[in-house]
Amino acid sequence: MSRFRPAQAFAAPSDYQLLPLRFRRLPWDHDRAFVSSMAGDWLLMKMVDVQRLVNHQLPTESALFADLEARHLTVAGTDRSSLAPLLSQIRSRKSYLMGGPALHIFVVSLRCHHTCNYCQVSRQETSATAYDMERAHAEQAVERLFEWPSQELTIEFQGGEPLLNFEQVKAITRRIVERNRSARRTLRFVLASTLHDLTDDQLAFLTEHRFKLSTSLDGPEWLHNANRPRPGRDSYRRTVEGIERGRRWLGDDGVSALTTLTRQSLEVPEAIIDEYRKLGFHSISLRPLSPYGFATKTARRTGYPTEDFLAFYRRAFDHLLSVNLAGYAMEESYASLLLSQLFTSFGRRHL
Amino acid sequence: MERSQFTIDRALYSDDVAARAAHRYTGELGVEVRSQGANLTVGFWSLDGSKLPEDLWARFSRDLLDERLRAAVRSETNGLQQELLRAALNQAQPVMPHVEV
Repeated sequence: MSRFRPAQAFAAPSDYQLLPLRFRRLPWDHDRAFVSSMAGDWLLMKMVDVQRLVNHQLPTESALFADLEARHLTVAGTDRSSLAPLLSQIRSRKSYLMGGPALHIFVVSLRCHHTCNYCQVSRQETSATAYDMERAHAEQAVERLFEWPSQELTIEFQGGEPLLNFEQVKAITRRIVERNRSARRTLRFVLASTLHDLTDDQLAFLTEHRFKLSTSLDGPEWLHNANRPRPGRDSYRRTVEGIERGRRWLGDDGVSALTTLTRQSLEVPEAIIDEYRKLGFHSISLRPLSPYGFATKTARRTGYPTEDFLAFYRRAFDHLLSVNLAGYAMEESYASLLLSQLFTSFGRRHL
Repeated sequence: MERSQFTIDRALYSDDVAARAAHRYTGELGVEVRSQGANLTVGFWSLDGSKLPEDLWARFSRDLLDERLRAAVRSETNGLQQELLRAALNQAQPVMPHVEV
């Protein structure tokens, strides 16, 4: 009797079980498809192989089948295969479900100096204090914040312009810090602001509570001022001064910027990226306009079709790669989000 | 207004598959699905008066085939998908199991 069983004894069963999967033909090559599993594993396949897979015509001893099994798209012999790795991956990918939302936005005022066409909120005149958050509402909002189970809480103050109701920013921050003495969460404060007219007192308070500043910078001076009109037409100068002051108090990584892209912006991707580089930013977010608030009313003037945004993005991405290859590290945050979803096992919260 | 109409054999494609394939076009075209005995008719028309895409029939045929494949995947894995999710998330440990509400 032979000491070893024949090779056929170790062969995979000829039939297999599909695991939940999705597929979509590539827009630029209809004969191939992007195929993904429940846990986010994926591969590119010929459509003819997708058909063979789904119709149970794929040989289980083929290299392609081994690849599909390794990516949890199918399994041969459920009696001898464990789904534990797939379960573990689903858990990792969906771990954000356990903690609940981490980002909590407090809109302390709808007042703003600017009259931007693309504004997402219903901004009000700078004198319209009736549109400020009231104390009772702020106290209730802080209570709601601590009802969420997430160990890490990000509290972002937005507007309008939150600096126009800075007393409420201070009151909410102090209340949260006090409440956290017993709750013991990890807190992160962010102020989303134009950074215009920041005072030393405000900066001292922001520094004391280790705030991060997030501002809007739409590109070079002419573009920023065109997108973000305000009395004096000096939005760019004031924002850049605010960035510099913020960095002096909070450090270089204490200030980040977001860009909003109007139709004018789509013509100058290189200039926008070069502006961010000039000002020392290592991250840029190239996001299309959001169809909310005032932006819905001015969509015909400032908006654009998706194809135009994609053409812009291609040019921008090429330029960004050349900037990086030249030795200056700069990420595009939406690309980072997509690439980390594709190439790591971890789900990344969008915000 | 340019209009195009396609006839689908219900023995080849289920109503659900045909509706899913047609739904993909609702963002760019007007779409209408009607049953006519053993067939379904799917009508497309331009919403802004422009010409219909020349490759509409080729695209729609591809989408019908793809939706039929997706229906086969759903049919084979539907219960399994629920079971896997339940098993994966049942074993997960909440960050804070006792939240005061």
